[in-house]
Amino acid sequence: MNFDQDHIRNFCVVAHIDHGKSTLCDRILEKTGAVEVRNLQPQLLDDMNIERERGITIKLNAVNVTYKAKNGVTYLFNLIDTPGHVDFTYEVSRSLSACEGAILLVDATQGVQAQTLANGYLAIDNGLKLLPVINKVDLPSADVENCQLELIDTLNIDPDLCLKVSAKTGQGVEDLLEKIVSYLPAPKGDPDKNFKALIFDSKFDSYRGVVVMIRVFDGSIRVGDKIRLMSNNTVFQVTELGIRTPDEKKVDSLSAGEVGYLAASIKNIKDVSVGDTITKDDAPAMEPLKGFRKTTPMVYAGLYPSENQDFENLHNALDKLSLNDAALVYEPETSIALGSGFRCGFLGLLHMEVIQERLEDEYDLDLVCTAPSVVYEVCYTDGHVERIQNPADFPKDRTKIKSTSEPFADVKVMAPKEFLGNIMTLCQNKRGEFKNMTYIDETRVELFYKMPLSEIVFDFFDRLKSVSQGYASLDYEPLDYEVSDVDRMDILLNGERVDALTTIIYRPFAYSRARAVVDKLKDVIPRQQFEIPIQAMIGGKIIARSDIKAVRKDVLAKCYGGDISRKKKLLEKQKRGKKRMKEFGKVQVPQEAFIAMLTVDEGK
Amino acid sequence: MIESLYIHIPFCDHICAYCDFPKVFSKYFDKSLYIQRVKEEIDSFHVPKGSLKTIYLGGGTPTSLSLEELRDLLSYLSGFSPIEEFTIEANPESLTQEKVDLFASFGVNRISLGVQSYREDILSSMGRKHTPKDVIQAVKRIRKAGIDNINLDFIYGYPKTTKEDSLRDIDFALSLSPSHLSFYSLQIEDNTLLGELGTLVDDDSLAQTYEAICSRLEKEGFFRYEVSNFSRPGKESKHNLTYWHDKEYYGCGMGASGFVSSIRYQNTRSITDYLKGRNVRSTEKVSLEERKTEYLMLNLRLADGFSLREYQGLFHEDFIVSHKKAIDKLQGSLCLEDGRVFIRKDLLYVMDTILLELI
Repeated sequence: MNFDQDHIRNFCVVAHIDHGKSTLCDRILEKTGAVEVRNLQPQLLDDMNIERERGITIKLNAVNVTYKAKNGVTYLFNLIDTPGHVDFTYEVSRSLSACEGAILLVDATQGVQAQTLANGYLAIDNGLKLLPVINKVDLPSADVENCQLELIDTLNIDPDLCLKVSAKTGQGVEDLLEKIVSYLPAPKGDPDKNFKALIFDSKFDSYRGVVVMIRVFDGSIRVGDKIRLMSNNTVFQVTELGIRTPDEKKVDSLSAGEVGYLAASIKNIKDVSVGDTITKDDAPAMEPLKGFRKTTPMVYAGLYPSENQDFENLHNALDKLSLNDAALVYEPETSIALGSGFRCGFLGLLHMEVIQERLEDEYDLDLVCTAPSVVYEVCYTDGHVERIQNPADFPKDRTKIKSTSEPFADVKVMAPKEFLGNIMTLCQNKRGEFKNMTYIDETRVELFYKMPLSEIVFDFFDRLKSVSQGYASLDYEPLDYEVSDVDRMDILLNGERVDALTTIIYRPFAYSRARAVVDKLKDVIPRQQFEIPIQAMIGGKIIARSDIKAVRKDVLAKCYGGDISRKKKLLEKQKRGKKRMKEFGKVQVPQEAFIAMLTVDEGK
Repeated sequence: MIESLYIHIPFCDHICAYCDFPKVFSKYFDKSLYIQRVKEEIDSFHVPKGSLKTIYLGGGTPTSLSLEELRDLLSYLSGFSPIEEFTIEANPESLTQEKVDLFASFGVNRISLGVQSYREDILSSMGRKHTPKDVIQAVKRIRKAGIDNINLDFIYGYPKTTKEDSLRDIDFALSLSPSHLSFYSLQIEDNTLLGELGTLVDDDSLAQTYEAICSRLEKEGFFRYEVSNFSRPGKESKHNLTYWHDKEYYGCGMGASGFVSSIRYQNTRSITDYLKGRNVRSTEKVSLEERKTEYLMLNLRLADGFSLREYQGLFHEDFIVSHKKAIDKLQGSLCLEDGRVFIRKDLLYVMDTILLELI
């Protein structure tokens, strides 16, 4: 199973969401005989339920398949699937750097979209050769010619190069396989140099420890070799090497140009970072591969079990999930309102939602999740500095505070120029500081802003999509902390402070923010037997108030024979809904309230 | 022993905008065959002679049946006489003197008349085909036939009506000296003509109208014994109390529901199946725990609630002990007096909130 580098093609598929990436991957697996048709469940590379449900790829995945080309030679294809959300941009860029080529997939009915470009540019940035493929050509609404024109305009792609396929029916897929052989470059590593490989994914296996996916650039590695991780200089002995076809197959060695997995009895996933370089301990490479970045959580939120007795179950579930997810961090915390739970750190909001859903689906937990927050820094008058992960820990007494600061980020937005006005307004509302603007071509611009991370990680991405009809793409790079005028805003329900609803806000925006939050809470918290005032308080002063009126009618007017079963089911459903609510004093607050804090729109 | 029988007559000459009951246009179907099937269904229950205390003929529009069809059904039902309370629902425009005389001759002693509104424009927007004059005429005929236990149904909260309209409805109703009144807030259901329009009066205005209706009727000597039902003393609907007391009853006819041997069932809603004698029922076995929910949900709709002794007898537990936590929490909302449990008078309209604590 050792292939000459000339007969290896490492590539990924990049596309806008729903343009058929996973279906195309399925078809490639099927046509190369890697998977028998009867074993093919849709979106085979998407392991997690949640990926199949949402039709998105969260964790990346890699498969080795062999293809006998028409020239009679058998080639080894390494197909690397990439996630498609801004939270995971770093993971995408790492998986791209494991490839020489990328299939750029465009839906013929939709044309070039924001992620087509964003991922296309990312691939070009990583030095990949693009093979354009127009998908869904079997649909009546397909407009292949328009797609070709857009590809010339945006990415300068030669229309003659565009392949026309239908991943659904399989039409054109064989031509595509031939084109992968003839057009995409073979890897050009040096098998005689010191061993050097890139880690582009990792997962935990209870028998083998951490299993990492690697792309070998130079040299080769054998089972039993001692390896060194170049970012932290830790050393492990290789216990197993293999490839995924997509079932795992053990191999004795992996050499330059190849992609495979490696196990080395690594107990803790935190020892392994995606993007790190592996080399041999006794013959290390001189330089690590470029682009390594330690992933750090960007947002923190409290996760609490709805039922207090589920605390241990939540603890176990987080332990298990974090084995496969180096980006997830957590530590226990206690809330007066919510009891015992965990403060968890995530890459972004999607990552947070994914973790929350997995905890609820795979571990059958009912969770309350507090509004996410970035980590703030408080500098006290006595000189010491405290990092605040939980807004409830932010000092109430401002006289002891010398200054406060929050993390900033460099933001890059790419969009068609007609949305420029909308996007600039949005960035300004999000406290963005305009840096620069460049025209990529006649129709597209790139905008550069400096912005507080707190504004980006909440709903910025969603807003950006909505003001640009989905065309804008976003990338950001964290910068350092800067002084910023922030303060804690407490929420009082029926006169009582609810610590789980405390947030940290930018003071000049306090009034509009407070108004939006109390109004939103009023909509989300159901009317109860008595009137409930909702108050927002900053520095001991109430700055906004909204009242939930007492419920006036909830009984069904008619209840006769035929209505009884229906009414009973309705009540049982309400009862279940009520169980998911948290009680603060006499007030019942649904889970949505904690998240609703995020989605307030101050503009309206 | 089951004491109540409901018979559903699904035929209508016109379909009302708000109605989501099982119903069909009368002109397309063989009604005498329908009556034959209903008789067969009742026979299948082997109802013991003399066991029934109430019969309720509802719809649909029972008065859309012809005189002969009605005679056919009523003479069959006379086999169960005497019946303490025998109600027929009637539409004002189709209640002829012959029909109501026929009813009286077969022991029918209560008529429930669908009035809905005193306003002609509202009636026509509801798709009703009668006028207030028809109502006055119908009540005269009922009395002439010797039946003086009369219920009038009204709807409030209909689009474009106000609290004042409901008070005028009451004036109109009182001028007809009924013994019983029902005021239902409009419920917009899916699959109704109104459901398509989807305009609804908000809960706050509904509550205000409801309070106005209750206080006016109380002054006039009508007792609100159930959320939407008001009666002169002793004139409560015995049949409908069967439902609210969570007692078992037979239900017959297309789409009718019933509750027999701890099983709640609903007959087929397909008229062609029913006519072919293919009555496929959906059924639900009610567990003891569910029965508790039903019991509370239904009995607490009544002004005088339920008795602790009856609860103990049915469920073999002391309500006050088993629901201690909720009772403590509901202090002031849930009343315990003379061995009875009931919802505070002015909170009946928000009883679901209270119920959710108890179930």
